[in-house]
Amino acid sequence: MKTLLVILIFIMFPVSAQVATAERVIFFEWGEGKNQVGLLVDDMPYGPNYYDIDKEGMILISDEFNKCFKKFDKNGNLIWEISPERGKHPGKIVSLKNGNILYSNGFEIIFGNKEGKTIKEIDSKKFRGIGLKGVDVTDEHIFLTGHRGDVFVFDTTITLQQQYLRNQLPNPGCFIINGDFYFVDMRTDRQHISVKKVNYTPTGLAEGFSKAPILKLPQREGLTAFRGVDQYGNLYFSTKFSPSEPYLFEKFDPTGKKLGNIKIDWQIAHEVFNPFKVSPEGDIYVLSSNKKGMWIDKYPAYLFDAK
Amino acid sequence: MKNTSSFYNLIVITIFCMLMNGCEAIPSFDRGDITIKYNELQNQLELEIENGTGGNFNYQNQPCDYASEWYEIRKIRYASDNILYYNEFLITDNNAWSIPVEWLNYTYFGFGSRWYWIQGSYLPCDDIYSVFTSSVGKDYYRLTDGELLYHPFLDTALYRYNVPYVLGTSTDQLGDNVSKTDNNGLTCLDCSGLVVWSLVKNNVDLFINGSERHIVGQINVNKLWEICRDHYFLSIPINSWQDGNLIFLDSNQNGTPDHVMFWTQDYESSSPYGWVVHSRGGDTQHDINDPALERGKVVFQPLPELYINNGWYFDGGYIPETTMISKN
Repeated sequence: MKTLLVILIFIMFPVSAQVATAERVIFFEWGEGKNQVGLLVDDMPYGPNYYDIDKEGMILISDEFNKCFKKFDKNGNLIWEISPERGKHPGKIVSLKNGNILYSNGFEIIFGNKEGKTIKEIDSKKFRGIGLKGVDVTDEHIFLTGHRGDVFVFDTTITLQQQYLRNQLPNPGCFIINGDFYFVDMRTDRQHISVKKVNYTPTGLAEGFSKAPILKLPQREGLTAFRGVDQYGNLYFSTKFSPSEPYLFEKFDPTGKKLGNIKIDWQIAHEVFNPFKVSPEGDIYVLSSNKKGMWIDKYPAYLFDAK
Repeated sequence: MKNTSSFYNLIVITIFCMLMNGCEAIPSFDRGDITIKYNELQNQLELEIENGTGGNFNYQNQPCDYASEWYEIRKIRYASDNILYYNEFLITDNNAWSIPVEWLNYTYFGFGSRWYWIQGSYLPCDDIYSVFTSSVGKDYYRLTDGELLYHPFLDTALYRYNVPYVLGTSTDQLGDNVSKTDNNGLTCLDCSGLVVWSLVKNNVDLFINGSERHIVGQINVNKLWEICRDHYFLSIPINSWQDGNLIFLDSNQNGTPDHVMFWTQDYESSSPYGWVVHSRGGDTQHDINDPALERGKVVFQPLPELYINNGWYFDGGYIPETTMISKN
């Protein structure tokens, strides 16, 4: 009878049996110590809202509750720490392809080198609508997307080259990755996700949009989010079907052909924005937490190939 | 005829003012009045000082000798108590009669309310000017660039953007009551206070007898959920949320909702995770670049995935716009 029950459970809940196994990248205890992050107050974790992993595998943490940015090596050793001046606080932090960093202290957007030293600053108040909702850096341009969808294009000397208010873009729902604009539409057609990829040219965005082919991807009956693009142009989407089910991550090639999927069981005890990151190699990094601390897991790209 | 004694008296004033028409006085003075006004053409904040001779306002003329420090009040709420502290300031601009409204950038959308504390002194040019007091208004002033959310409940809720969060009845550090039941709930709002206020302002009949003031004060999250259950709609699946839906959370997992938010689609990224308008507890943060970090007040932010993933999602409710007149 018990065996039958177990079999029945597996038949009824096949999803849980297929959840992918991750590689642990790093674990941090909560605390104010040198190699700790966040705080545990009244048994409630207050952890970093943002993190990133640079091309060398170093970990960048925006430790809002300890009022600093921290960079750790792969073994969790602190490399440097930046404390914004009084009245400012750590916001989003992003590692750039050349190893430099970009972060917000609440008032300025700061470009720094890999040692954390400031290279340049952008005074946010001079560019209404600017923000770090989206960040992309190529050899020629720096693209920053504000939280209402406006796109700012700077050259590498941080001189504004182009600004698109959201209603000047060919379509809302714009993500800029590797210098390409991805217009993702999940609303027009509830059965499909429509994606248009447009190469950036200062004056040819609208024309490029009109000529770009539409990629039609299946839309699931759940909360779907666009998670990113790897260096090969493959697209990653996640869907949460219900609070009790794991995330379904799907990978599509640039033509829209599905290459595979994995299921990720995510555990989180504090608030974090964009816990899922797609690396250039196609690995998925996930930040998780419980009352003991927070950790980052890696789901290697090859898991999407497993049958 | 000038009153030379008062002419040369340097009057030191300390006032608390809420932008724009809403002001809470700390000290009380015999004559006069002062309000912060938003000059839309100049895009700046100006002090409006009541003409002591008859109640007319004169804010065109700068006093001969004037010094002021402008502070933006932010709420600091500590977990151990529920007291509103006015101890974090943003803007200090000495010797200013008016200040540019740079803080429009802070909101991204050009809407919302701000609280200011002005501390200053002036030497009047003539005896028209007298002492400062504050005026107590009934409403906040919203700045808008006309790009708000096209849903009446959401649009109304955003009038309260930046209004500090206070749970139920609380006091500030000066001992004044800052309960959401005060001033028709305008002083502070908790999560249900924001929702109820937004509904009531749109003439939704919430089936509670009494004045608007009492409605805002009496309804908590669970009561709001029961109202949806008994009179409107519940059990909205997470993939069917529409603009203006109510998202109920049960973060302590005790079977009773403890937080409520308005939900709206994220039109910019087309992510169904969407954004929420809610009055949110916690310490106040301002991040020009990232409103997602803002808290301790009425905020407009991306829906944290934590809320859904951890099973905090309790229910989705819906009160149709068509019930704005009333529902039998």
